[in-house]
Amino acid sequence: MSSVDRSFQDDESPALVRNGVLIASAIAIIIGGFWLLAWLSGAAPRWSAAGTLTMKTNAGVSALLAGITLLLLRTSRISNARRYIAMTAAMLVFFIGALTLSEHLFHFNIGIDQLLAKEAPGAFATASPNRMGPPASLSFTLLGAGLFCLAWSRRSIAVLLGASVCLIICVPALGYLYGIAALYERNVSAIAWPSVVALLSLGTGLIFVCRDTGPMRLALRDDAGGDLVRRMLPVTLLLPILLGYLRTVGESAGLYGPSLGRALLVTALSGISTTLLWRSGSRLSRAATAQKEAMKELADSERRYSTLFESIDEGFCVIELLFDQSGKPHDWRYLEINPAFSKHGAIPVEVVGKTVREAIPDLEPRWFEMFGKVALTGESIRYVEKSEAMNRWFEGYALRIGQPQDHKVAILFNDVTERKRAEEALRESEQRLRLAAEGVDMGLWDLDLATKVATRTLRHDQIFGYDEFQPVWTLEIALQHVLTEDRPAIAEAYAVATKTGKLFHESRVRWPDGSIHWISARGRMHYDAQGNAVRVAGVVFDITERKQAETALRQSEQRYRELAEELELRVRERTAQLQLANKELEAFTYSVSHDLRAPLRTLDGFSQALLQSSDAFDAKARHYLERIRVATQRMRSLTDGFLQLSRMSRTDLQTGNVNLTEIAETVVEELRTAEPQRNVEVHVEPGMRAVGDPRLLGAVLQNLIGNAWKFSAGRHPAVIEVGTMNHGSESTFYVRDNGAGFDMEHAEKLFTPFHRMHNEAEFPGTGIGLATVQRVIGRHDGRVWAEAAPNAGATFYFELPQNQLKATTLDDPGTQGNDPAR
Amino acid sequence: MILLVEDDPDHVELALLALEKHNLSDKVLVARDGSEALEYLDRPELPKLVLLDLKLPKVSGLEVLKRIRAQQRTRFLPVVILSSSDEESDILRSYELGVNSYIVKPLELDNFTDAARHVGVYWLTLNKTPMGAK
Repeated sequence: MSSVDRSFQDDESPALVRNGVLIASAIAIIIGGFWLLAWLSGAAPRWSAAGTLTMKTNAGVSALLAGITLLLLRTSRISNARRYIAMTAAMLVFFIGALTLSEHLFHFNIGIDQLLAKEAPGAFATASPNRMGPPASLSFTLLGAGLFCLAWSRRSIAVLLGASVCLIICVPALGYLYGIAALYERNVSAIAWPSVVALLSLGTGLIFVCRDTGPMRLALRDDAGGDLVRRMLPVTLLLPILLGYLRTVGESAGLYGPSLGRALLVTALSGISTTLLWRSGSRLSRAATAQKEAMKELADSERRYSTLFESIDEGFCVIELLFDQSGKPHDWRYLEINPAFSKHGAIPVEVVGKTVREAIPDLEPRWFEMFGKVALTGESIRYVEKSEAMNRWFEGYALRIGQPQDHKVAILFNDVTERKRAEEALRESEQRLRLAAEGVDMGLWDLDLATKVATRTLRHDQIFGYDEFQPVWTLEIALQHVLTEDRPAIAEAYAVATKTGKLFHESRVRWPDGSIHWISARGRMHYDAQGNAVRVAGVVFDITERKQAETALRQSEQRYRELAEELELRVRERTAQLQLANKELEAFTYSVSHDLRAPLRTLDGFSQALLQSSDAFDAKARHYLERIRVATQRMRSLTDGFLQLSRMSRTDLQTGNVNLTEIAETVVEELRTAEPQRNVEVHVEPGMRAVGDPRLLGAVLQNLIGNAWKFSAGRHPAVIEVGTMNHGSESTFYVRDNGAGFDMEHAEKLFTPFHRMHNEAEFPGTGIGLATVQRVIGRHDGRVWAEAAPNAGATFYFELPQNQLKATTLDDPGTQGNDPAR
Repeated sequence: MILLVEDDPDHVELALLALEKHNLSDKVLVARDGSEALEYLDRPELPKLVLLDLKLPKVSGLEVLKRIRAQQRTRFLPVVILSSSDEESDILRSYELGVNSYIVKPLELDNFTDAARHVGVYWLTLNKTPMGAK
């Protein structure tokens, strides 16, 4: 991490500093290299012999090595191999310097001076042939140590040593500059000018390379102090040197004497220094004023921030993420919170200074991961998350603040639990509605009338024939599916809806596969505050099956009606045929009965004539003739019965009020006249009235009373009762006797023509009477039945509708089907 | 003189038998059908009474009655229907056409004899007809 930061700082260093080290190294390497080559090539010894103060061989080697070392250590990011090479070279420099220095101090020769090149003895200002002077040897000793310290990361010492070198070399440098030979030509101070230049470069380079410590640290700072140093340093260092040089030059040229020169130097020095100081001072003052203003502004901004911080409705906190050994975030500490924090955070105010784990022990780990990521990457996030541990929803914004290594994150957040719950409830309710709608195969839709775009459920699109949800749906798209002939009806439906607020239409749509389907849509308009319709929403069904069923039902109804009409027609035809057949049969019956009378009369007439006319017959023959006459008379009564029966059917009903009591009494009177010897008690209820045909009802009573009379023959006294029972809207009349009665087992054939319950010898009869009764009662839409038991009498009941005024005829099918004449 | 219009020979014989008992038989003319009866009525001498059956071959009894009443000469001639039908409609029709009496032929010979006697006595002796009818 720190290496990253330093490289970052390297890039930020001024070009002068970066290149300064490079230039310093280059100067040392060039000078050192030049002189080494000079010595090895033999040029230097010649210059030496000519009396020039030369840079010695070992000085050249040391300058070359020191230059290379400085070059190697130019940047802080270096490999270990490079570092070891640099250290070795630095040590070599140190040892060359130190050994040479000890030769000077202890006056002995260890033989290193002439190792690489020889110099003739007696060279100028040289203590021993090819031995570098004391200032150079001391300087290289210090420089070697300094470079080693730099390689060893002991930068403060390195800077100190570099500064020492510069100070030492300042003396001969000024000597050369001001032409004071004593400062560089004496045995103790002897040093060649190339060595001065090389050592000055190397010392300065060593100071420059240590940017983060010593003078360079200050000089590079981006504040008033750094600025001052940067501005004043060249002046304080170079100005006196420059002015001193100018004074020397002026004096040498004879422009002024030493006293005037000193006065001029001091005046110039103090004048320029004061001016520079003044300028720097005013600069600093301006900077301070600006800073004060900036501070004030900052304070204002802090106050504003503080006010905002205190008063905003959102919760706000600054946290410091805490990481475990493996570098994973596992907790955080609250550094600051605002008053709204507690409200939204549901955590008490005292949480400041504590960790979130202390406040909420079971908080979900993903919160640490989320904010940990912000702290590490510096990327802000927005989030909407639920904490199960707190059972709350939070919406917030988190950003890293401060230095990356601080791991501070500021969070602005809201408790949106209520909103979320409301949303969830709404979603659930919508879901339920949707499910309910799907359950009944109902599609839902909601059309925005401004955009004509509709939102809807999947089922809606399925009703229009799509398996998948369509990306977009509009009224126009819907209409394109509707059959052309049904479209005007929909336009009409929407026109109605704008008036009534309710939309309803049933129409046919063509699916993408070409099939036609019926749909039914219902909707309701929704209005804005101004009363303009903005939306229409509703449901849609597929009613194809219902429509098909309706069509099928209509068709089947139609078919049924046709069948019914056909049946009716057939029944009418059959009825007509039957009526015709009936008429023919009746006519036949009548005709036969009628025509039978003539021969019967002949038969009876002649047999009687025979009996009267002659005595020629014996008793037996007379008996036979009598038998013929009885048979003839029986046949006559049968044909009479036929005729009566057919007459009951053939004649029209002449309906009116009938006094049944009177008719009954007349009948009884006739019977008494016919058989005066019979002892019969007859009770006829007075006031019996009915609505019907008097003649036909007379025949009914005649038959019933006649039967009662006949079958009660063996009783003493015989009792006959004629009366009524009331049964709601119908009157029930009865004729009761205490006669022979009959077994009810055979009662179902009672009213069948020619069916008899008794044998002819016991009670003679034709079997036509009751058939006649039933036919008459049937023609009156009434009912007739009997109750009887053998030897316990019989009761015949007949019932007539009270307001029966209907004129029925032969054609009327009301007559019972058990009539063989029909 | 009585004109008996009857197609059934048995009945003719029985009728004559009945009339014989009251000595009326020798004055009886018998017509076997309607047209024969009409021929008899075209003769100069008219019968005093016509005994007319309804069911007759060729011309029916009612048709004969109608013609009798339609002709000036015979319109007051006493006509008695002697029929085996007791149908109301026959009776009604006969009276509408102006019959003088309607008798249902009794089945019993005795009764028939009685009826014949009554008819003969009543129409031939007691009853008076307009002179112009003769």
